[in-house]
Amino acid sequence: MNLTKKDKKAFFLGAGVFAALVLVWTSAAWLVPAEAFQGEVYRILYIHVPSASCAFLCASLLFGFSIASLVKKSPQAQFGLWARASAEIGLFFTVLTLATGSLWGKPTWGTWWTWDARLTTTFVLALLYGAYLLLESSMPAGILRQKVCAVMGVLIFADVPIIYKSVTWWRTLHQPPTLNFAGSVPMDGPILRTLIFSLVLCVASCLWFVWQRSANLRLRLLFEDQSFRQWRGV
Amino acid sequence: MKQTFFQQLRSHFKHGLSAELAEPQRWVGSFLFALTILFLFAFALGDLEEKMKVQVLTAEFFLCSFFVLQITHLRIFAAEEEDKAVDIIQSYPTVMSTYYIAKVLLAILFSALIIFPFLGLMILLHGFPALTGKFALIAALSVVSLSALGVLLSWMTQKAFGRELLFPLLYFPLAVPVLLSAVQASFCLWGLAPEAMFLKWLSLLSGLCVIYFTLGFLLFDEITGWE
Repeated sequence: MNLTKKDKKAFFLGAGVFAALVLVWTSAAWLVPAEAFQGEVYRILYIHVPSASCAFLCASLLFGFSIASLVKKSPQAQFGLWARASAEIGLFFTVLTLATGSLWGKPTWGTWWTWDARLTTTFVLALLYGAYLLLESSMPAGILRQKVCAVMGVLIFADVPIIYKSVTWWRTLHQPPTLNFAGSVPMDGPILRTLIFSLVLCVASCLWFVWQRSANLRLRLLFEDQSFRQWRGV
Repeated sequence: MKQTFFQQLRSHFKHGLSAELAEPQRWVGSFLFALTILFLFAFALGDLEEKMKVQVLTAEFFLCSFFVLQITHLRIFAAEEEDKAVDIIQSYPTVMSTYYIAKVLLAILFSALIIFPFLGLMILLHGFPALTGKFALIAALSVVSLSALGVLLSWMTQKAFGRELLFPLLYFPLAVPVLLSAVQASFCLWGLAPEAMFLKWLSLLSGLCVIYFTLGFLLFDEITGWE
């Protein structure tokens, strides 16, 4: 197998990000002190909060690539591939958010799942990502698919502010956002620092996933195109 | 001679209306669905206490609206598809957004013809306390939002495989915020939620209505004429 310089760079970058993430999560599990009220169970926050942020980030990426797809009048399959990659990774992080939230909910709220506003709207986001991928795979390739999926990407983004604000609009079990831009963060220094590190590294790994997945999709498209040409004898 | 925006809108609306009226069996399905819901809930209501009854009736109304609109949207372009009229429309120098608005108006008209008599029956049979201007506003905003969204999605899934399965999968998650805000705003009216929250829920509902309609209006042109 011959790896190009670009492939090697991507591999080492990804390996570096994941190694740092494992390091931060290990220190979160062993070195950071337990929380005064919740005890050990709070540690799931180091996965839950970053994965929720990545789920939102993917929705923003999907929106950006969808807009680019619509604005560019020439057929640009590139943006479609980036958008699909964002939706796939977004679905992964949304499911991870729901799963870790559920694991935290059982010992804290006494239930795996409740039809709380934040939980319901996040579940809706997972459904929207799933719907986007289903739509994309159930249409014949071409400019129409690209445009239709771009419209769906824009519609999905309309849901994001509702999910984000759901904890303040509805009376919910889920606590309001802990990390905010107002300045007051009710967390101890080591907990906050570890959370910020895991957040930054999780975002970096999310971007790496999107980048690699879109490269993977581009390669698949190339293979399909070449096999079609061979079959046609072109 | 090129027609103005409103002339185009009127032509599309008139054409759509005559196509719908030519085959009334198209909307009889929605009507029968509404009747089924009415009978089913009439039996289920039984001896429920008043507060619970109002909650169940609110759910009944929005459930009926959601599915009636879904059935309407699924076949909103059926007449043109059968006659291959869409290709002809696209070959004219027409603004496709007028076609979109005409279809939204038709969806609103035909679903309102079922939903509002259904609401009347709910008031008559169960004493549903819906005879207020505020509730009419909530119902109208929900119907407009869902129609704007449904018509756009219906066009988007036209060329997709397994359209009948795909459409509800796209429509349901995007309709959930509309339904939740409509139900919450109604609860504020019946005193089941703080009255001070009414304006907030109504603002969310109006916001969604504006977003879905504007996106549909702006993006419909983008997804037509690329086949």
